[in-house]
Amino acid sequence: VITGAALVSFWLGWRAADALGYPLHGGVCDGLRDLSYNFDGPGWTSTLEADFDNGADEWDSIKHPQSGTWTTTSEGGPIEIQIKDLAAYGNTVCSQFGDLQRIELDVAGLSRSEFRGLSTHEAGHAHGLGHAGTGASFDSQTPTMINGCGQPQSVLVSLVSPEQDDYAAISSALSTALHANPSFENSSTFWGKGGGASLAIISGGASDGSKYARVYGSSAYIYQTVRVTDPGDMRGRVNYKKYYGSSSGTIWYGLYARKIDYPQSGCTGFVNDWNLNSPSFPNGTSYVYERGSTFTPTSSWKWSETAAWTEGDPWEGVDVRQYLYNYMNNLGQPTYVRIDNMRTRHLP
Amino acid sequence: MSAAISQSDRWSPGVKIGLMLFALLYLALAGFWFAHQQAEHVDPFYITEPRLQDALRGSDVVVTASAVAPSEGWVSDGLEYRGWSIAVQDVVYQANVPTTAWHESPEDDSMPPVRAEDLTLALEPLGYPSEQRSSSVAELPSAGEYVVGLSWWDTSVFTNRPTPWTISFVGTVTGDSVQFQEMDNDRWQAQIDDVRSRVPATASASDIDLLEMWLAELDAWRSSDVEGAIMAADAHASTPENVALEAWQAADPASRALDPELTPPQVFETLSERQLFVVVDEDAERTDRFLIVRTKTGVAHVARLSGGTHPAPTFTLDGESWEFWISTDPVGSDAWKVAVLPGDVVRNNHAVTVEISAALVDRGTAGADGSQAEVRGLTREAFQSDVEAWQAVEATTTTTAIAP
Repeated sequence: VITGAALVSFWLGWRAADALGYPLHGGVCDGLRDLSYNFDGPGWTSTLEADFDNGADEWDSIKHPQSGTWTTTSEGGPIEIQIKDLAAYGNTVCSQFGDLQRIELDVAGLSRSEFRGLSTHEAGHAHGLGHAGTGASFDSQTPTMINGCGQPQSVLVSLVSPEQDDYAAISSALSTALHANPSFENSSTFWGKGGGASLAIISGGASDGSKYARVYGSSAYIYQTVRVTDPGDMRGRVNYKKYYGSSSGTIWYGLYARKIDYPQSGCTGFVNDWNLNSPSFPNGTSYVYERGSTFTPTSSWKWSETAAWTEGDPWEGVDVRQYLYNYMNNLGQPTYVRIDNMRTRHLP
Repeated sequence: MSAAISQSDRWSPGVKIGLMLFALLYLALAGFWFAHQQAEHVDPFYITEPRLQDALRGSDVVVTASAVAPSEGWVSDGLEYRGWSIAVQDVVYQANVPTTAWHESPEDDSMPPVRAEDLTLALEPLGYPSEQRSSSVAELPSAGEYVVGLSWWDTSVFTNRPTPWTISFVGTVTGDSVQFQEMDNDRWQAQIDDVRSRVPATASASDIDLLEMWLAELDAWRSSDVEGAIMAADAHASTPENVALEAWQAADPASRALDPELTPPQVFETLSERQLFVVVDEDAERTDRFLIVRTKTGVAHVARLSGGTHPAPTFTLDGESWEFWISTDPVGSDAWKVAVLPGDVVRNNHAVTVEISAALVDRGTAGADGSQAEVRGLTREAFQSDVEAWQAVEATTTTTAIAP
């Protein structure tokens, strides 16, 4: 009886765990860091196989904050990749317990670059990612993991390389960070700057072999925005250090936010039946400054975090933007500050 | 008792029944677990609202038909297909370049010339049962004239298929017009009308003729990668940048953000960056009050006053005055103006500072005693001096070091 009860509770527990993820909704599959596959069934040609390989490999360009990458992709493993007549472009098929079984791709009517984009998208599901909305990247690009609902077929071309929200999804699925490229291992990708800032990415960060950002400029700033679905309490966190031992001054970390609601969707693949492609902004489209904190760099790497920020009511989503201003001086002149990691995170 | 007594004889009937029930329960639960372990969950990338061009692109052949009747379906690896028997009248289009040609499979040059009598059965994919995809062909009236797009699957490669043909779109024909069997026929019709308005050669074409012209362009595009006039017109209407710009232009300036990630690039490149320094008195730091800075073009900054003193980057059109409002919400639906800074003052300074005192955060108080927010332009040096003075105070109060 105990064994039976355990089986039932295990099943119910899995059902309960099929909840929300961030920044993307969690996929139906538990997710594989290492995707190893074989081409199964009819219809494969050397061109199709090469294009799937290249599309799936795209995820392996996203670097881990310490070393290496978050994921690996290779041919020769158990996951079956099949050509099917779906009239639906692609499926990722899992067992009810979340084990990835196979990926199905429909080539009918697709161009070569569209097929490759579709391959990248489905491989993202294999790594455990769900769907994003079309506006969930802030570099004007289309996230690889968008839901196809309401999109023209040509959007598949845009899915070939992971974008900002996809980077954030990988790091949030496998850690607590909610931003893309938070430690600058992928250079300055996805980071904006202003106020006359110069931004250089240099080796020698807080972790061996890692990189850091050297920010220069008086009142200069860097920033990044991320879309979080089903947000909770969150904080901003930053790891920072002086550039010159003789320098003095501060950095200032500011958080902005805007509330998101989602309409109900007739589309498949959305948790809560939200249509992530058509958000509305009930508190306005502008970001609202919420809070800021001042930190004083020293000659050692130091982590600091902002006070907790909590939305006033249960929001369905939020766009969070973090700013870091440099107010460091050396011998009376503006100078550099080092930033190795900067991100918002959910409170546990 | 003899040692030869069987094991079963040692247990009472009640115990035996209990053991049997336990075994049955265990088997039932194991079966339940096994069933769910084997059941599949699908995460589809499914374009539920395809553009008309997407449906056309998936077609190797387009026919007119006098009847489309239910026929035997097909199930393959859990995927369901409804079968439709098609009485073909005419083959109106056949691709010179098969839609699958790019992947250099054996079927590239093996698609035979299509004869009307070959097209007797076509499949309509319905996906996995869990997807609950409905049949659009089933919504056809029982009699009439139809136009049907079909994609071709080589049955010498996909050997278990009962037919090479899969339906990519279907519509009913009335005179010169086509009524598509899609969830939103009006949207496809609007796309046809949009093409007619943009491409003179199609202005007077019937629906069928226009579809043929469109299909011919797609066929040529597959071999040349060059878009025709119809494809270009359709792309213009669906390009995200164009859609975003039109939405921004249609929005109320009081509700659209001047922001590097929210303003369309075509507009943003006309704006200039300036620094804003907002000084909030402690008594004015309220969670239910917001500062809104806006111009005739849009909203430059919004701040919840409980966040206190802060810097902010702003992007505005040179020469426009800045208006400063206090509001009870971030949208400005209940707001009162507390200051205006003329456009020439903004243009001639590196930064702008505004001071929000407690007297300004209640509508009844603001302005009643003549109180207005203090706003002024700052040179780079004055701005730097103000910010450093603020940070010197902040550094002693808000730094919080934590463990990694």
